[in-house]
Amino acid sequence: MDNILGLTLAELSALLERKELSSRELIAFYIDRIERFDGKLLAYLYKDAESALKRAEQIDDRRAKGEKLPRSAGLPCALKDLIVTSDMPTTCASKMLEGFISPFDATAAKNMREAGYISLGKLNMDQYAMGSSGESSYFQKTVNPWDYSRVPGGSSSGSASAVAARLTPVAISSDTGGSIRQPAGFCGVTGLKPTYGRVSRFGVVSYASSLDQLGPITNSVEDAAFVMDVLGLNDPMDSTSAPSKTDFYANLQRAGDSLKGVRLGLPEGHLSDLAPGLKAAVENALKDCEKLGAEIVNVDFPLAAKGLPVYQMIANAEAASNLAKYDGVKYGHRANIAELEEMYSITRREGFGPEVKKRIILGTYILLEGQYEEYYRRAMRIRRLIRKDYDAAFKKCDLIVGPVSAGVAFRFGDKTISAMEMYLNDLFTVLLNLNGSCGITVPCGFGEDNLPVGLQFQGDMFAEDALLRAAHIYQQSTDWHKRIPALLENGVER
Amino acid sequence: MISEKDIMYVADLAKIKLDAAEVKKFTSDLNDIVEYAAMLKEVDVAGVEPMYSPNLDEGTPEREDVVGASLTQSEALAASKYIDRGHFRVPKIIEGQ
Repeated sequence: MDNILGLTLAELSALLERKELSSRELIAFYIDRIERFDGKLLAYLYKDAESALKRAEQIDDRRAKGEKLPRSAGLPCALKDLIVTSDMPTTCASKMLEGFISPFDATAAKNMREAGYISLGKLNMDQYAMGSSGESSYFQKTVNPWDYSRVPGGSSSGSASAVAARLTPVAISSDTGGSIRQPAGFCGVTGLKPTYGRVSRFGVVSYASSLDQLGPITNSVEDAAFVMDVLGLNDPMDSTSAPSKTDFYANLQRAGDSLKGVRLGLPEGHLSDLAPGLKAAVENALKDCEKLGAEIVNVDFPLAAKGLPVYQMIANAEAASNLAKYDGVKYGHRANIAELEEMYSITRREGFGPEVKKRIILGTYILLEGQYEEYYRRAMRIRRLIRKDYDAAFKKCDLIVGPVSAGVAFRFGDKTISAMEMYLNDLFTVLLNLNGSCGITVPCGFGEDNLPVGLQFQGDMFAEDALLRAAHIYQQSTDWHKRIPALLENGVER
Repeated sequence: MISEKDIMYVADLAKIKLDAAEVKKFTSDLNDIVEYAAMLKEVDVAGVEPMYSPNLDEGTPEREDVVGASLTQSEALAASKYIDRGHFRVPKIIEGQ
């Protein structure tokens, strides 16, 4: 059974269809791994083995009867805990939503279920997706499977850790300022942030509505494309939802193995100030791309340095508005206070963690009359100029390439990381969310302390096919995505 | 400069009760962030339209206003802990009887 870990979703699907493997066996295999390893990794906030096995048996029965099932029927998946589900709690890793069960399913959850995916559970995250280490979760701190003293990155901490440790082959996650791509880099897995509008946000607890986007974290680009065929459906419930696209995987099958004719734009300055080991891995990856036929060209983002403050203004203003609904009146935590106004303010004091409070206060400040024009509207104007920089870059290149973080995964509570490093970490990811286009992280080697390094490709609006193709061709020329961390079981490495 | 008084005013608007230590910390944090954001003033944005969304420059798409399936009252209320006779029960709002 251990060879299951080396198989793609498409290969697993073929085994299921040929009845050489049952869904029950496959789901039981992953449940066993979760039971053995998640006690230390703490990637899952909620798991339901019994329901998952029951669904697997139902699918096996239907298949045995000769029923025509979707190709993903019986495959496992897991969901970041901000995707609402009617059969499991959704907490956003917050006290505010502790125990909350949604009366409906998010479109992404519904689409996955209808395609036959079986959810193993809900994955830990930074509280309300605010953070880049996973440490702001109210419940637990997920660790990095490559080094349990290190953070997995964030906000999709549980998603990246679980996929790296093979506690699920795919996690549906979200990326507002890098929350899929950065943890994917820290954990040595593949993380796709699709174009804004590609995946429905209906039923996804909002952080910053004009930046949030769902996407898969997987063990390969091929698996990401396979899942995107299910996630990429138009949704009338989300007014920003793009037309349906279901040929990601089919198009990837025609990718070939050459990057000849592909121009990869390397942004000015993106290779300076990196940790040396990480830098060497990224430079090797760029050389590998050139060997595959790609041409590396220089591109310039004159406003790159403004990206982070623009992002902070927009994300926090939108967060302050989105999180206003947590008032203790309808759902979630309510403070036991008899006076209404005080009930609101104590509920929010008790229900939100410090990082969430800070961002709401900042966002509310930015939206004050007098600050609104100066900060919020100005940030939205600069955002358009950043879009113009992207448009100009994509005239010179087909995809943008570079690091996804300035250093490898850091230690829990590490205060020694330079301000510059933290700043660069965000610099590499937030611009893409401001533009709204697609990007992907793939593992490209190991850096400091033998920890994974991620290579980021960025594409134009709705250019997932070109993005996935290049990332796939690069990935197929390496075996970084096949490396599996040694996990601890009862103190012994497995 | 953002003062502690400003933070208390904003916290009141945002309906989050802060203690004195938090007011102090958030005052310092917000001053750092806003000071950092001052660099945005260097950018010439004359004549540039704000980009509120990556893909809605054409406006928000509309659909026919038709009634579709929706949750029943009991389904909608099932996730709440504060239900009384089919309503959300809240602390008393109006003084007197």
